[in-house]
Amino acid sequence: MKKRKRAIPSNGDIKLLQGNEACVHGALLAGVTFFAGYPITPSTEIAELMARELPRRGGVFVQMEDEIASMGAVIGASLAGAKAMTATSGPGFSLKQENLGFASFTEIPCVVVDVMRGGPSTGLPTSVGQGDIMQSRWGTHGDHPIIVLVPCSVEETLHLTITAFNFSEKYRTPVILLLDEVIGHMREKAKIPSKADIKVVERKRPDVPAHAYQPYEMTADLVPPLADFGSGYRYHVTGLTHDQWGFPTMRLDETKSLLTRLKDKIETNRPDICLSEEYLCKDAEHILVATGSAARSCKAAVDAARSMGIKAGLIRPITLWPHPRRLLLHYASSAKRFVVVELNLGQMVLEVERIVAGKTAVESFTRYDGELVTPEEIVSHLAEEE
Amino acid sequence: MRTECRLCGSGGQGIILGGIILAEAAAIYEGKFVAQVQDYGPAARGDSSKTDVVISDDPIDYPKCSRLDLLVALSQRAYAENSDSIKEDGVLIVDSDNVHMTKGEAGFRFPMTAIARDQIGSPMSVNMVALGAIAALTHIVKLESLKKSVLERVPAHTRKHNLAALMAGYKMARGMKKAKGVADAGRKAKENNRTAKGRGPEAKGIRRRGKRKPQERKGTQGKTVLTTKAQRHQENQEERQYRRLWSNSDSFQ
Repeated sequence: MKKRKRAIPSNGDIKLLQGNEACVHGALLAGVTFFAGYPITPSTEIAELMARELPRRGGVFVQMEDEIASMGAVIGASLAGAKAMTATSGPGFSLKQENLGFASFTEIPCVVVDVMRGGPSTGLPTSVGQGDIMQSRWGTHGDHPIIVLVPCSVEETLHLTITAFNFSEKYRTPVILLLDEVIGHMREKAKIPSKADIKVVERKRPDVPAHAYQPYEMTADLVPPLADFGSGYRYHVTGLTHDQWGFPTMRLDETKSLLTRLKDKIETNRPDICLSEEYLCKDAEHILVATGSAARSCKAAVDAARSMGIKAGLIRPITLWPHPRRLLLHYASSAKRFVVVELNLGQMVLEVERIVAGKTAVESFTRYDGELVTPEEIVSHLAEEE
Repeated sequence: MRTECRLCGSGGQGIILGGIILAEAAAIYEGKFVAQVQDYGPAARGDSSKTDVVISDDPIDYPKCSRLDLLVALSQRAYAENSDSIKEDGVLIVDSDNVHMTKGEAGFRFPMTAIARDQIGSPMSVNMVALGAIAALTHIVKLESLKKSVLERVPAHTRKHNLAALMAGYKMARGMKKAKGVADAGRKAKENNRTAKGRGPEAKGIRRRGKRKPQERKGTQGKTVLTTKAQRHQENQEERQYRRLWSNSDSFQ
């Protein structure tokens, strides 16, 4: 038998991995079986590794003709029962938005990885940025539920990819995994967990006979079971406002109850969905709020500021959307100010300001030239404004 | 203890692969915390290419370099852009085939491209020669770890060549006393090693003896401009290249 070239490391191994590679490892552990994409820097490594690994495991990799079609293929594959994902960067993410809205409204689980680059449009393909913070929430049209997760290290990328699949299957919703160029391209040590060490959630499938199946039924947990296409359950899927059988409706009560259920299935599960990290916040007067690679600089800045006698802390939303409202409000009463550090012209700061609603001062500290903000810059900002 | 290393040159020299191998040697075979990031342009060859490898005993937050413990520069531009970021006791290694160092600046100069071309048969192995030099001149990683890492990371059919290049770089740097032009720097480094017992990271290199001094020069419009030797060298190179290009061009003859 021909020896495999650089086979994927066995479970329990510690490997030097890129964030993008870790994302693939996570997806494979979560049971991904379908990937369709249109490779784009800085997310290309995800497609590359998927192209090598998925066919070996009986999965399917398709390089589609464009970003729009790849999102369509992901939706179709998921409806047929596959765990499906795609990976892109800002310009491609924009093209996926229309189909992403469809997946959100028709409640089709899937994972979209967006590795953020610098600048709008094609911008800076090989440089870092965090310009898609708002696009990941409001990129598609209409009111829609969405979950967005943001890791800040290679190992966390691996685990959050698994979490992304779990959330998408559990809540029947698209989940966006938002990396940035630094996290996607950075190499760090990461432990590949064994299958016994991780939890993998499968979507709820119907246990009623085919004729009684309602794909958009109002269930107690607000997440109706999803039948695989081709498994004998016949139902209708449409982007039009639909009733519990999936057929278009214009009835006021059905429209309202559908939109309310979609909102509530995320809102009522906030305690499960909202992940975050806090660092030295208990006695902090100056709390930095940052996510992704910017949070790494902030953590170093907190340590440096503390050694200078400045009481600094860090809140890092791991779940960016829905935003960790309770955590921010908890520290809004004790902190003198929040400083929101991000690699754009100021996007997350708008959400923090909205949540904090004047309970403490909120400042924005940004860098948007394609380079990662340095701890020194943040410390000098904290020191001079004090 | 945080050690910041930067490898830089131009695209096609294998800078990023060099960084990955260095990072893997420290992370996997020596158990350190490592963060390796890369900075490159969209061109496959000729554009500037840079990788930062941070090696630490503790978890790493900020993953990039700010003050360098080690700079390996394989092109003039890389040298000019980064040599000011070296720490007082940091180590500078340059490829003397591509880099003309500022007078008075201490550092290790080796004809790395020539060694790769003449001894290994391909100038593309210059990255491995540089890694060998790092193992010989610093205590950042052991040669053994680098060897294992090279075997893991390079394509199977190039393993022999890459290992040979690594060893060539190692031997070259070990025998630096004999090499012309590095005698002084070499002695200085050896003294440091001898005086600092335990060969800790602080003893891993040489002290920079002087800052580069800009010289006054008449600019094009009669203005006096300050330039360094390195900048003048680069300008000369560019002009020569430009002239060559035009003189070779048939359509303009």
